[in-house]
Formats: sequence, C-alpha cells, structure tokens
Amino acid sequence: MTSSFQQSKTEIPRIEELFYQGSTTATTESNILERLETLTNQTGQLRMDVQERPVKYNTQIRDLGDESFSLVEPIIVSVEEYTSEDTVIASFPEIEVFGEGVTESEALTNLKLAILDLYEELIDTSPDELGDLPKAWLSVLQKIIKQTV
Amino acid sequence: MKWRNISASDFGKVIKKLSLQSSQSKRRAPHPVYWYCLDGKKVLRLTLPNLHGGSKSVSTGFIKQIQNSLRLDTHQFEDLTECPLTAEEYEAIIRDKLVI
Repeated sequence: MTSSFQQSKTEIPRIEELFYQGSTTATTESNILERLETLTNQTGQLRMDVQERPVKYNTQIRDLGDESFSLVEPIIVSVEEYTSEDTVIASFPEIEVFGEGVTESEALTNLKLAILDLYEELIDTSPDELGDLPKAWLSVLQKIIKQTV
Repeated sequence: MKWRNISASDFGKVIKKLSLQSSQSKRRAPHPVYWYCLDGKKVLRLTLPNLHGGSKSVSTGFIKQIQNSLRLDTHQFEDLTECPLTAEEYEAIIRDKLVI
C-alpha cells in the first residue's frame, strides 16, 4: 500500500493518503476541507473558461451584399460565437478583416462590408504607400472580387 | 478574464500612443479603421470599436481580433493598453516581426 502511494505521489496528497500520514482526525478533516475548497474553486474556474471559449466553425459567403461587386467564387470564412457575451465574430483571416454582430447573419453582413471597405481603400491607395502585408491583401482581393459596374 | 476590463475609451489612448492614422476612405462597415505606419508606409490595419462606446467593455472576440492585428501576445497587449509598452518598444516589436 505504502509503495503504491509513493509511486503515485504528487505535490498535492491524495485524500486517502491523509489517513495514512498519522494525522489526527481534526487535521485530516481540515486538510480534506481545504482540498474540497481548492477543487471547488478550480471547477468554477474551469466552468468559466469553458463558457467563455467560443464555438468555432467555417461557413461560406457567396456575395458581398453589393450588386456592384461579385465574388469570383464563394469564400470560406471563420465564425466564432461567444455565447456568454451574445457576440459573433465572422472573419476572413487571410486579409485580416472581421465583422461583429449579435447574430451570425449580422456578423457576416458586417464582414462583407469590411471586405468591400478594405478592397476600395487599397485600390485607391498608391502602391508606394502600402507595406508588404496590405499589398498581399490587395493581391488576394483582386483575385476574388470582380467589379460588375 | 482580463479582456472584459478593456473599454472602448482605452483604445483612444492606444491611438494616441501609436500615432495611428484614421482611414480617410468612405466606409460601409460600422467600426472605424486605423493604420499603423512605418517609414511612410501603411503596414498594419486596425479595426477598433467606436470610441463613443466610452467605458463600455469591448467583447472578447473583438479584442482578440485587435490583438492579432497588432501582432502582440497577450502580455504585450495588456502592457500596451495599460501603458507600460511605449510607442518605441511597439515599433521595435513590429520591425522584428514584419518585413517592412
């Protein structure tokens, strides 16, 4: 018995171990209560962490919500739902744009607006004023967006 | 989480500290956009919460997006919003991470 305890010993003693350490009943009870309090706090923290963790999935958008522009092909975007805050973030990580909303639909609508804003801003900016990253975003946008008017 | 304590007005200080330039182009999306410029070039683009949101907390998801746009880890981002990280230190981080 002792050897198995020695093998499984960690920094925090197992509850059964407390009975084998020659402690008095009062000390053992106090130790167990302390352990229970620690475990309760840790469980509460874990519950909060799980609740705050977003639900993530991918979806497609097929247009940009503006008849003057169309997508050459549907693009895959990332959606994160933060249920504890009633917030949804839809993003297109390749060009670092996102839209926020209370619902997925609102977040996707705002993402489409943000994509168009970025596209128009980049094509209106002299290439000399753009760093490598914005130039790369423009290159991606020019491949996926077609101006129809 | 600590993120909940970051308000829209905190980003007003970040805009000043990093001398972010407001995007001048016409916008459809609801949130303002700023550029971080180095050597006369626009290198990072930040979508920030509306500053008239005042002391209202900014959502965790929104803050994560801003943190990613700024290319900062959680500790550096906290330092930026709480002030210890200076504009010069931030510039050094970005020069290290980006090929300008």
